Formats: sequence, structure tokens, C-alpha cells
Amino acid sequence: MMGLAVYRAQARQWLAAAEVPHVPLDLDERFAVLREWQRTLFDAGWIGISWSREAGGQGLTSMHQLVFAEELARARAPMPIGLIGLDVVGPSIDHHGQPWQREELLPKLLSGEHIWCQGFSEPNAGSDLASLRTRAVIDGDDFVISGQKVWTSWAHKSQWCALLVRTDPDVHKNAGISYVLVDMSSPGITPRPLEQMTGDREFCEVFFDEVRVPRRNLVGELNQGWTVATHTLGVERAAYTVRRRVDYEVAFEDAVAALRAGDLPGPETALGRRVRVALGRAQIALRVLGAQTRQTVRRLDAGEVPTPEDSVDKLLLNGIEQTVFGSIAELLGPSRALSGSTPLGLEADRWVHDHLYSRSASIYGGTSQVQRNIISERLLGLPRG
Amino acid sequence: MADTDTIASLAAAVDDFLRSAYDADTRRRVLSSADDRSSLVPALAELGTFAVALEEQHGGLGLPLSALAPIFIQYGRHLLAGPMLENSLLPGAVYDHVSEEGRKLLSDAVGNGSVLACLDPAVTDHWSGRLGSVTSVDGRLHGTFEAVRFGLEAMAILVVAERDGCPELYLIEPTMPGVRIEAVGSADPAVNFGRFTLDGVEGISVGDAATAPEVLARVRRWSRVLIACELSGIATRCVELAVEYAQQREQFGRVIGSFQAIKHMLADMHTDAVSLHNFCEAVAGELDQLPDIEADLSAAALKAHAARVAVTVCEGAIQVHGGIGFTAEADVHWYYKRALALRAWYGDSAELEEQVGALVLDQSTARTVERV
Repeated sequence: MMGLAVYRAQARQWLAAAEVPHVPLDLDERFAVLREWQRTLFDAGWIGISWSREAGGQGLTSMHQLVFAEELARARAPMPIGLIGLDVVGPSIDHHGQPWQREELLPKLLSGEHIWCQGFSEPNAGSDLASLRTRAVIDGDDFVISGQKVWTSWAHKSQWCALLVRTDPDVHKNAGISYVLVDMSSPGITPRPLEQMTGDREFCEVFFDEVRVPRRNLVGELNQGWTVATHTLGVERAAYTVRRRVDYEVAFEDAVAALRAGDLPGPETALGRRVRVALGRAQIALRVLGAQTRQTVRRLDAGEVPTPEDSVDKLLLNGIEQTVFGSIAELLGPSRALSGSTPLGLEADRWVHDHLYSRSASIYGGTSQVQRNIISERLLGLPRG
Repeated sequence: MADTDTIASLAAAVDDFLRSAYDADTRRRVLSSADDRSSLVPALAELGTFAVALEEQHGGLGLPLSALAPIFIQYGRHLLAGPMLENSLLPGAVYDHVSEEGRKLLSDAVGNGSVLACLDPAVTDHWSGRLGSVTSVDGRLHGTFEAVRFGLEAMAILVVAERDGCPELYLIEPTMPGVRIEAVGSADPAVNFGRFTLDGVEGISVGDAATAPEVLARVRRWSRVLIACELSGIATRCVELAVEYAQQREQFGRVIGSFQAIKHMLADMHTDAVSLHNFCEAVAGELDQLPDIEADLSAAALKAHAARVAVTVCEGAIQVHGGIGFTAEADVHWYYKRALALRAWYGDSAELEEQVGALVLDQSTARTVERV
């Protein structure tokens, strides 16, 4: 297998020659540009890096995948649009899916021709995901699905959805759940975008009204959907931690560069002192995360994921994202309220956006409170409450 | 890179030794009494712990300073009193830069456990000058300094003096003419302090104008790292103590560790302590391979995190213990007092955040994100 250093050099060389797209702020334009970018990456062999060759991937390791993510960040190039498919749904289909699903669905997922969303959370099933109520009733060769999902990123732009549905209401919560692949053009599906506090409208609530889905779209066994969903989510979490660290480092470097180029107050002034303290705090947080992710990478490499240790990573990651963007955003001072301003050389709009976005870090993918439950019960051995 | 098994077995040997020689009763006695705080130093010398980072040709084990990191984590876990930092760090850092006379003093510290001390006014930045300072005029030292750890017990003291804005280093002995040392009360249960007054002392010079700044920078960097390791051991131990207590103590008919309010505190404390441990390992492992500015930045960032985490975790442990945690009956207050004393030693988080921020802005090249 190709060494990481050689792989890194190849990625860097390719990215230097590639036409890296500018990412527009407008959501529709952003979606189109990033989808095109996925196609470009796919054609050049940079998609599905850690996927098996049989599944259409490159047959390398998650370390290679991370190296490429780092090189993308270094080149200030965006990630492809179909991350939910590439990171979570695809591997679930690859590990648990039927042959036809692998053969027909994975190639288009990789190339970006099909964008995937993931219908897990519901209005009454957030942290308590296993209490989900969207029903799938078997009728002949079909499931008939009714219910409502929420926080479904890109549902209004997706061709396919990986959906968790209740197929047996009479057994204990997570024993009656199935994992089903739904064609989003099926009659009866209504996605409605929700506006986030950042102003973006990337995620949706999705209504299912007697949607007919062929039974062959089931992934894994009937009523075994919980295992499929949690396994892949667990595996993905460790890789996600490492990748987000790169995003934060890039953002921090951009802020430092902007401050250096701007009207930097001297260290003897009150403002100059605040700039240094804020940067120091953010930098220290990044280094803490850097040291932590070395252990994560070691676990990934040794195949020791998922583990409750991932919850330590996630809890730490949540706080660090908020520290980094909170520290930088604080330097906007009163100009935070002035759209289009550039206090101290910092673009207010960008840092306000990223700061607001950081509030979601401790909510999505398992809230910080859920992580604390897992840590205290499964790592510290404290009794369930 | 030194043999990681050797390093791990050294730390395990220190752990074994302290389990028997420094049990809970001994620890309480030592921490309560200024007379006993360096009592284990000869035994630790015999164990070879001070020889770790001294070159083999000088009678040491010739391991990198990073080998001290797991040992200092053990010191923290056991809350060991004594001049561990000075006796472990100074001989290896200074040996090559000092005359035969000075080397004898260092060898005596390594082999027999005679106590070493360090008089460094830069032990704080924000309070710089408030504790005193030493100047060098024509090779003679003048000045006072309030806070020299184990100053009264020391047989040799590394003095950082200033001459025309540049640092000079000297080794002095307590018996040298012009040296006056007085006891200062200590609120750090693991350390005694001495106040030094130097009046024209002719010390043994360490290095020269070219080498002294480098030697000093390395001593300060590693002081930060090893103190952080000690704080890491303290934090880890305090999480254990708090978890054990939360599993035993019952209120409202159930153990308090089943209440989410307590569980979430402990989860945060655990996460903090784990992050500090991993940060210590990462920084210690690479510090001597980094360019100077990057090494300074790493050490400062680590010490800042350690100072915040250890104090926060100790406070959490006291809270989980409830009323008993506020008494001298439980051990957590010793850990807390030690963590508070070490917090400010070579910079607390407020001071170091500012330094790290300044270093980040001053660095001529941007850092890379390449870390995998």
C-alpha cells in the first residue's frame, strides 16, 4: 500500500494544478459548485479513498483519507458536497446492504450524481433517537411509510434518503427499527427547509405521507436498523473529530493572517492585549485537540473504533470549536453588529457566521449532555440514573 | 528515540517505590511538616531517578528529558514532596556548561540526593520583579529573591542573574561568602521556600554569553512541561478519588454517582484530565526536536492548559466530596493546594495565553495543518 508521505505529495501536487473552486455564499450556488467539485475529485480518484475497491473506492486506509482532507484544507479547497453519503450512508450500504444496492447505488453516490441525506431525528426523537415513530407498514412488496423527520441536511437537494423507520411497534424501542433507502422523487415526500441561526437553509424537516418504498430497499435485516445506523455513526465519529480539527486550524490561520495584515494594536494597549489573549486561548485549545486526535488516529489505525472513548473526543471537540470561534468573534467588538465591516482586518460576516455555527457543535451528533452520560456510565463505571 | 520500554519501566519503578515508601500515612506526615519534605530525596537518588537525563559519560542514564514526563506524572499522582524538578532537570541541562567544581555539586545531587535549587526571577511574568531579582556586576552577584524552592536545604543553587539586559547563569553554594538564606513559610504542602540575599557573591559561572540564554530557555521550557506532567498526575488522581467517593457515598437512598448532576461533573473532569495527559505526552515527546520558538510555544500552551485543568479538576473533586472534601480528613485538599501552588509557577493560564498569542502573531511563517 502507498505510504502516507508519498500519498500526501501526490495530493498536494494534484491540488496545486487543480482549479480549486471559490465557494459562493448563496446556498443554491454553493450546492452546485460543490457537487461539480465532487465530480472533479471523483474523476481524479480522490473520492472514496478508504472504501474498498469492490465498492468503487481506492482501497486505502482512513489515514490516507485524513491526509487528503488535510491537503484539501491546506489548499483552501472545499470538501465535496456528498459527505453524508461518503462518510456514513455509503459505508452502511457497503457493510450491510444487498448486492444490488452496492452495485447500483454506490457508483452514483461516489460521483456526486446522487446526493444522499439521512432521515434519523424526529420532532420527538432527538437525543432519544430510538423512540422514533415514523412508521413503515409492509404491504405486498412495499413498505408504506408515514411520519416526519427533522434536521435532515440537504433533503431538498437529495436524490436519496437513508431512513430509520419503525417496523415493529410492539417490541422495545431500538429492537423495532429498520434502515430503508428511499428515492426522494417518490410520491408523498415533502421536504421543507428550515432556516438556521446562521441564515443558511441547509437542513429540512421532511414529511412522509404514505410513501411506497420497495422492500428490496431494506438494508440489513428487518428490525435490525439500529445496529446498522449506530455502527456506522460510531465509526464515522472518530474520523470526523480528526477532520474538524483541520477545519479549525485553517480558520485560525486565516484569522491570524488577517490580523497580521490589518491594523494590529501593540501589546501594550488594552486591545492589543485582548487580541493576544484571545489568540492564545484559541491556539491552546487547538493544540489540546491536536494532541487528543493523535490518540484518535492511533485508534482508527488499529481499528479500535467505535469505543466510548470517542465520546471524550466529541465532548472535547464541542468545547474547542466554541472556544476557537468564540475567541476570534470576540475580537470583532461592537463591529460585530455592522454587516460588511472588517474590524482589525477580520471579516465580520465570516466570523459571525462561524461563531453562530459553533453553537451547533454541542448539539448535533449527540449533545454534550449525551456524551457526558456515556462517559460517566461506560468509562467511569457510574450507575445509570 | 530512547527505548520506550525502558522509560515505561522507570516510571513503573518509581510508582512501585512510592507505593511502599510513600504510603498514605507517610504522605500526610510529610505534607504536614516542613522538616520531612525532602526526606525521600536520597532514596530517589539511589533509585536513579535524578540520573535519567544526564549523559552516560557523566554517570547518568543518557535518556532524553522526555523520559522524565511519565515519572513526573507519577510524582503528581502520589503528591510527592521534594525538589524533584530541580534535581531531575538541572544536572543534565547544566553539566556540559560548568567547571569541574560545579560538576561535583551536580554529581552529588544525582548520585547522593543532595538538594538542588533554582533562583529564577522569570518564574513569573506578570509579577516580574515583585519577588526580587539578581544582577551581576563584574562577575559578582547582588540582589534578593523571595521564593527559592528548597533554598534552605539546597547544597547548590542555579542563579539566573541579569547583566545589561542579558541573562547570566551561576551555580552558588550556601556557604559562599555573601550568601544569606532565610526560611519563608510555605503554603505549598510539597515544597519549602527560602529567601535569598546575595551581596557580592562570586558564583561558579555556567556557560557564557552565547550559551547561557539557550541553557536557560531549555530549563524554563522543560520546567513548564514537567510541572504540567505533575499537574496531570494530580488531575488524574483527583478524578479517581472523586469517582470512588461518588460510588460509595449515598444520599436520598442511592449513591450520589447515579445523579446526573454529579455524573456530568465527573465526565467533564475526566475529559479534562485525559486531554491534559495526552497533551503532556505529545509535547514531551517532540519538544527537543522543535525549533526554539515552536518549542517555547508548545511548552507555554501545555503549562497554560495544565494550570487551568488541574485547578478545575481539584475544585470539582472537592465539590463531589461535599462537606468532607472541605475538611482535612479527605486528601483532596492536599492536591488542591499543590495544584494552586504549581499553577503560577512558570506561568498561569492568564499569563501564558497572552504569551502564546504574542508568539503566534510574531511567528514569521504560518503553522501548517499537517499533523497526521
